[in-house]
Amino acid sequence: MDPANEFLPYAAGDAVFALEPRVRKALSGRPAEFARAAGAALAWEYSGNLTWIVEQPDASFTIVNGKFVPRGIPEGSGGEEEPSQPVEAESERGACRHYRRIPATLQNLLVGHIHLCSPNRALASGLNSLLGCTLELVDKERQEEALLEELSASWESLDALFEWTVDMRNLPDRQDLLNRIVERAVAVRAGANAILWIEDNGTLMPTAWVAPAVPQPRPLQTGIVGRALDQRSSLILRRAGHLSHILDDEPELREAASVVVVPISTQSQLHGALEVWTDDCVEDFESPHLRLLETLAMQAALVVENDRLYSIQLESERLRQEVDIGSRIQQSLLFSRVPDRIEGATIAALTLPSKTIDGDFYEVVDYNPSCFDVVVGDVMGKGVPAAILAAAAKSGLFRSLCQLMVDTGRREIPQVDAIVTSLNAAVARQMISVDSFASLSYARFDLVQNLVTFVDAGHTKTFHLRIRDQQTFILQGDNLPLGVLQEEVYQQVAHRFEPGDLFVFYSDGVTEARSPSGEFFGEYRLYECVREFAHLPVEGLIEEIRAAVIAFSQREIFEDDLTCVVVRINPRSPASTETRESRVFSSDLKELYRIRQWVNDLWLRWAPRSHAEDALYQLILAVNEVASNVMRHAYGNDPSQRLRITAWVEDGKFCLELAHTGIPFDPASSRPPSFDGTRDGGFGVFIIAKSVDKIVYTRNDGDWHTIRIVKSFGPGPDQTSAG
Amino acid sequence: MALVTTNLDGVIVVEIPGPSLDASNAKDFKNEVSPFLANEAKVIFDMQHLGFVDSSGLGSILSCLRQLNASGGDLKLCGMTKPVRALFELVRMHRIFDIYDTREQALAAFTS
Repeated sequence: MDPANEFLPYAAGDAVFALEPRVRKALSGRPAEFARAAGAALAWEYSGNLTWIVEQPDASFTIVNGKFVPRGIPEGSGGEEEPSQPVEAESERGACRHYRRIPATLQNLLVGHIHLCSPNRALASGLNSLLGCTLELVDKERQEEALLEELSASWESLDALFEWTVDMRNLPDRQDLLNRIVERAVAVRAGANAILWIEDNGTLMPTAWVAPAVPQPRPLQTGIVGRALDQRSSLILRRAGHLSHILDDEPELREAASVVVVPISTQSQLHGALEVWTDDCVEDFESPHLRLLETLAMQAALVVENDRLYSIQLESERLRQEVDIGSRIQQSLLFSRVPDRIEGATIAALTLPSKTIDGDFYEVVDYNPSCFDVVVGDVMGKGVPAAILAAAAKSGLFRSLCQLMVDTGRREIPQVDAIVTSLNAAVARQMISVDSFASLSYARFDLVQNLVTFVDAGHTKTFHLRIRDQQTFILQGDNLPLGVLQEEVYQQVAHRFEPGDLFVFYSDGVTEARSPSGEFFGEYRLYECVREFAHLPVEGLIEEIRAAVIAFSQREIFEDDLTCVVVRINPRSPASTETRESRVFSSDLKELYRIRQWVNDLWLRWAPRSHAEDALYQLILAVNEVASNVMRHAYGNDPSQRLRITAWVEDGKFCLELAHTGIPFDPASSRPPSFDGTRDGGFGVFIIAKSVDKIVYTRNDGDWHTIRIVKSFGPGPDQTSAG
Repeated sequence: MALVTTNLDGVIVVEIPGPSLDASNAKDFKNEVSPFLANEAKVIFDMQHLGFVDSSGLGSILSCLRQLNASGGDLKLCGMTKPVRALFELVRMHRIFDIYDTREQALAAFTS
């Protein structure tokens, strides 16, 4: 068998090729010296070619054109029968007849054969051992070199890692870092190209690359990269060119000689792949390369993961800040301090903030000791946008109030329906543009008339508990929420109450608080709770409501804000009802004199010693104007109609209520007066407003409409106008 | 409504009857007083009997002033009671009218 035909595994060929010169060189050293001294012949056979190392003229073989040629060897003792086994041929003593063909094996690879021919058996054996040692030495040397190489590669890797770590610290941008990783990857081997793929929703996106052509995004399961990702393990392909059938999807590998694909993944997640290849076949990728590339891929995974976590953290920080801003908006802008100077009522408010921020808000506007408004609202939506809209609604509320007061030019408080209509007109466009709306419950408490006038704009039902007989009333209207129709006109409804009564306003967060089994707290439980603890002061009552909701839902943090405002009308002092008189007059202008006389007499009867005479003139002026307006406008000068006037003293003030059944008089409809004398009329409404502390027009659903005026016995605020 | 009028050297003094000038009688007053508000007339309204004037009464007096001013005449007021004065000040009409405490002072203002 011709040694040239010996099979060498393909991958081993290159290694043998690298080892052969070493073996040959080693044989020329001490084995050659020994052979010369002993008169032995030594030849080296590689890939079927023989060369002399030490030639002896009497050797049993010679070399012709690199081929083994026997010389007078006795038959049956040739080395060709069993070339892989040591062969020994007996010969005459002294002659170089002891022949052996010894396989030279390194790292389990057959590198070649040594042909040995010595004068006697002992020498042959000695030389054989020496050859064995020599080969072993070569092997050790090679191993040492490999170790050194590896060490040096490790140093290089370490160096690269160090630089990389510095980059990590200095380059904050994910793209910069990935670019740098690719630069490092191609530096692993001269002429290398690399693409760093990052997976995005099933597509591999080329994120950084050093390549002749710009890579295009491709599906995740494509080609060699796809296979590496699928198996989640690194993949080395040498002589990849012959795999052309799978390279159609990976055009960059069309000319590739050697390819490495390393998945980029963390323990939990696959992020992409690092693909590195070379087009020349000078040197394949080896395990040290692979290790470095795997390290780089891990770094890439860290960068991507880091970036992802950073984004998550950023988002959660943004959310946290939003919640923070929102709750500050809510606390400072949306929830008012409940005024403590309302004399006729006590109010307590409860707010339980939710996980996020809601658009809940409330406001208490107190005009004077016997009149105040309670406004509870809820802007649809969550977060800062809802809170800002709610703040806008509140500022719109005050703007509307101011505007209405300026428009009428009087000191009277605008009507509730007018306020809400104006508020809606002001905020509707804003709300419609952001697809939001707000529900609102707006109630005005008139402690003189014991009347609550309210507009319900799609809010939760306000609850009224009449203490006298424990009867409950639900205050509910059918107006649209704010921000649905800009030109919506809101309707108010009036409702009587009695001293001592309770009112409960709340947001849907209260009634829609859920139990662990998903049941709503509901209105019924709220009403029951109010009824049960109605005897407590409002602060205590609201605490009970809070406890009941928490006990029901078994949590303290809610999905929605919980807002609840409780109003208790103070029980009236018995003294205030003693000074009360009522009289009915006919709707005849001639009655004006009698009305003035009657009011004058009551004033003098009820007024304290220190009353101001001017205040009396002003009150009489005001009563006269109101009554004359009612007779002329509400009743159209029909003397058969009746006008009922009730007078009483409350909180040290003279109060008058004129009730009629005619057309509701709207003071806002009259023209403002001209003070330069160019017009005769228009003074009436102005005079009323300037003369009294307070005027309230109430349009009731029933027969009677009322106009109430309040005048203090002391000097009025407008006494200075005389100057 | 019976008006007592006196012509003093071309100045017409009108005593407005009491006790009040309000929505119930302002129109009557306007009709009664109109004849005295001829061209270039010099007129004094003596208001000493009026314990009360309302916006309608004020409007009627204001109307007289405008009528006289338009025809070259003039109107002065005198003898206002406190409540009436208070109304005039409330609606700032004390700045539009020439107001005197007594009839004599008003006359003197015309003749000077």
